[in-house]
Amino acid sequence: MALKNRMKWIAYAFVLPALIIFTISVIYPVIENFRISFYSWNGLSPMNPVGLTNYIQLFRDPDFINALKNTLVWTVTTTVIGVLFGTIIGILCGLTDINTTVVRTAIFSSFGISATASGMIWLGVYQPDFGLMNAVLEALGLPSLARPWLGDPNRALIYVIIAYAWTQTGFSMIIAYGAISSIPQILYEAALIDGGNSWQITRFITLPLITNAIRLATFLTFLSSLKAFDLVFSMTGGGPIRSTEILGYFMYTDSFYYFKLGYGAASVIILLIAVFIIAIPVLLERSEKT
Amino acid sequence: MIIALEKRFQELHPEVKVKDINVTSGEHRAVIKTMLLGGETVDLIFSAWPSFDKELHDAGLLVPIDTAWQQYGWDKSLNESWKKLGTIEGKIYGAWYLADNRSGVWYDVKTFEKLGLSVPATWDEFRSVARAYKEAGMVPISLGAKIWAHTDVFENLLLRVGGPEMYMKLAWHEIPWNHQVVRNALKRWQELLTEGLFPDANTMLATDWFGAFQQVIDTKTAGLNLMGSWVNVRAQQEFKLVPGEDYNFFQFPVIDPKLPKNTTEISGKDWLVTKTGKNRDAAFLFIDFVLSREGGGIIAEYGSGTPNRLVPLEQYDAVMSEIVKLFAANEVVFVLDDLLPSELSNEFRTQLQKFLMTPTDETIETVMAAIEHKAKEVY
Repeated sequence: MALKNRMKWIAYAFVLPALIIFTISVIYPVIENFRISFYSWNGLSPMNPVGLTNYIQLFRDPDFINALKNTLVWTVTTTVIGVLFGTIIGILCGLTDINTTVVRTAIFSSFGISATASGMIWLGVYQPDFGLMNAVLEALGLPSLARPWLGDPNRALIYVIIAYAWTQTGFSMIIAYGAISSIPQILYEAALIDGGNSWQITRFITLPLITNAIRLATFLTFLSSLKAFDLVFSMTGGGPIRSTEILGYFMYTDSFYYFKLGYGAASVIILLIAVFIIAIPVLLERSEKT
Repeated sequence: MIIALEKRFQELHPEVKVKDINVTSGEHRAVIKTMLLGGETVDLIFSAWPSFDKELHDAGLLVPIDTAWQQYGWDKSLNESWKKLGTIEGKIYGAWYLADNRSGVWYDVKTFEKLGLSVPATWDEFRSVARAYKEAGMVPISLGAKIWAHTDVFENLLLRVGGPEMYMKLAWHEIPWNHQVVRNALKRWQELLTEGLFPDANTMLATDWFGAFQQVIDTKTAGLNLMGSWVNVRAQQEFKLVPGEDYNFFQFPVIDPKLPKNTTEISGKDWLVTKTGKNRDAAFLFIDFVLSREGGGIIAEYGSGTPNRLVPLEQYDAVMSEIVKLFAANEVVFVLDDLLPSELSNEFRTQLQKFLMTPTDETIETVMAAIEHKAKEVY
């Protein structure tokens, strides 16, 4: 019993440094952010307590509601596109006999580079005068389809979503590929002996065994999309006419452009609550399994 | 240019060590504020926004420079209007060292001459010039409305239909944004838009300011572009063009002949001395160098404009010397968008984008109402 207790304290001692760093860099800023959300403060002036006013105003602010709607569309579509394409590519790479290292590296690099750099790349793709997209369309004899892609407030969000989903595809691909690689080869051999075709093998062996990995990729991609900011910042600055303004960008403008730090902090708390609502059931389910 | 100024300053004052803290983001105000909030200590800040200077002043971060102004005799370098621009609540805080003309319409000289055009002085002549480009199959007036450049068009229209007094009243919200003068300015813009003298709305909203300028002097797909005179430097450095020969500018045309003819919209940069800085004397010494004839000369050599009147005209290139003459001869007003609080500025930009999408009478009313609504919230 004494040994068990001692081991427990040793375990805590090992965790302690990480816990201290986590508390300083995550827990404390969250608590401080929560506190600031009850003040009116521009960062330079004295802090003025305003109670729940920031929260009440947020839900009356049409720009916040717009950002909320855009965020919903953004997170769902970037997650679906990113995970779907990533998983398909991961499965194809995992099941083929061809060496796919170059393909995997190329696709994964989209996840590896910074979102700002991705934004600059995609700006080059969508640029109206010299952009790749319009150049390709013209080369294909389809100049009528060329357009100022990011200038249309009704469609700009779609084009930015495509750019962001591209950055997430590599992540899902590597998760799916890793999961497939860990499936014992013997299962495939048995299926082949039993006369299973490619579709049946994928449907009844591969997909069920990588489901957890796909769920994890979906969960992490969703959370990542929810707090996205830099790609929108570098590509559109939330425009035109706020059509690509998502919560991450809204928080930035309110906090660091308008310097309404209390108001910005309140929107951070709303986002944090959304993240908790999504994350807690998944984490609870995982902890029950383990 | 700043590096060249610093290098020469160091040669003259080896006892002072200059260290730059780079602000790399596109939104300098946010980064500077965040850095100051984070405890960064600097002696000097350069700013381009009088409203930002005021914010820093109100937060008690700046020291007045009146005493140094007297001691170093900066009246010799900057005239009363620039001194006034750097004054907050009766004390001088900003020493302006860069100046840009924001009322200049740029064109490619060869295309202009090929079409047999002459510099328009009136609104009707301006429209005729734009029509000539249209007939030649070009975009008459390019515009980068992706972020902010479209506001310059509105501001110059406002200046020409309302004059400098109304312009400044609107800047300080002494008249509402749904005032008749705003409506008149938007109506003038509406005339140009409905006549097809600008690109389609989506193209404008997808183009940034530099892209729009490039269409005039590089790809030559557009005829005219209203842009700040810093493009003079870019045209020379990036496109190796000769000012006055390859490209030139004219001032935004007169609309109401009863108003002062060439009132010029300007922007610029000023030096601010911080309260937390530990080397105040060195900071003043640096400002004194920048405002000297030699310092101003370095700025002029780089193709930029300076309000420093010690710099002889012949030190500027052909285009910039004309701009500097305009500064001296006409009343100047600071660019409106930079006088507005950030939140109102953003609403102003967004609402004008809405106007570009649908330039109808109805939109004019809703746009004016929306900016006024935000202005009431902010002021």
